[in-house]
Amino acid sequence: MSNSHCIALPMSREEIYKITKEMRTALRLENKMKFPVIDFFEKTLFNLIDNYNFIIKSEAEMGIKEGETFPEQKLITIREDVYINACNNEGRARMTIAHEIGHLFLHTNNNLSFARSDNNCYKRYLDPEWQAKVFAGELLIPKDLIIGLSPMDIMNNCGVSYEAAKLHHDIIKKINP
Amino acid sequence: MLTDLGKFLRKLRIDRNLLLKDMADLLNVSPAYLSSIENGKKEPPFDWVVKISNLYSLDFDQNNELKRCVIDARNLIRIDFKNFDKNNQDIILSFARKLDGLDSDKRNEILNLLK
Repeated sequence: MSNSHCIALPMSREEIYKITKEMRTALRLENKMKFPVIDFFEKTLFNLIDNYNFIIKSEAEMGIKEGETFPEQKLITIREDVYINACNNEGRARMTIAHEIGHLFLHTNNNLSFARSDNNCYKRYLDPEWQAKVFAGELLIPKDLIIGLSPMDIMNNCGVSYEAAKLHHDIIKKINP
Repeated sequence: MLTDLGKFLRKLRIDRNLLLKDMADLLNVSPAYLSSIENGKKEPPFDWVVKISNLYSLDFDQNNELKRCVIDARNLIRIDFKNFDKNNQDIILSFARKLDGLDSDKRNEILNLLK
């Protein structure tokens, strides 16, 4: 079956990890388990990127979309309930905001294109959604700080959902059995 | 688009280490409502000048700046482009762009045309 996809420049998990690591280091957060994602979203990005803007939209306006990023306009929109949950330290909501920040940093019109391809040939490291997902995970769950921790510890220390904690726990285990 | 009022409030929050949610809670509005005001989608209530000034103990200059921003935001006229086709959008935009440069004869001409 042939289908149309949005594809990005190829980027591996390791390359994306390097970017998140650099960001943490620049912010002197390299040893901080819990990334202050809301502060970063509301304040740091404002100082970091000229003309950066974010908008909180009601559930009526956003519908099923939890967040949406327009890299060309340097704009992130977040659904109100997700924003409030993230302010209250809910792991999944924190990850959603980190995911949108990933799109802002990784994707611009220049490096995105639409491609027609067979579903089977579709490589996930070209998928902007996969890249943003990896970015969010690596930003909130830095692998050099979680070695030896249980999924439960990762969940509590990094402020992420159990599913995300378990996923990253298993990735680390594969690399350092 | 972030309005001057939006920029002012954002700078205030950064200086005071506050989140948009904290500010919305103190103003008794939802985060989405405050955000839509900051982005020029809704008009700020005029009593926000006094409210915000008191809440954050603004000094004289800050208070004046806040007043200017709120007045500016209330003077802005917004047109919903969704209701116009591309041709009409172009007419509205070029009219808005060139209005300042038109002499009174040209302006009367346009006015008569529209009557």
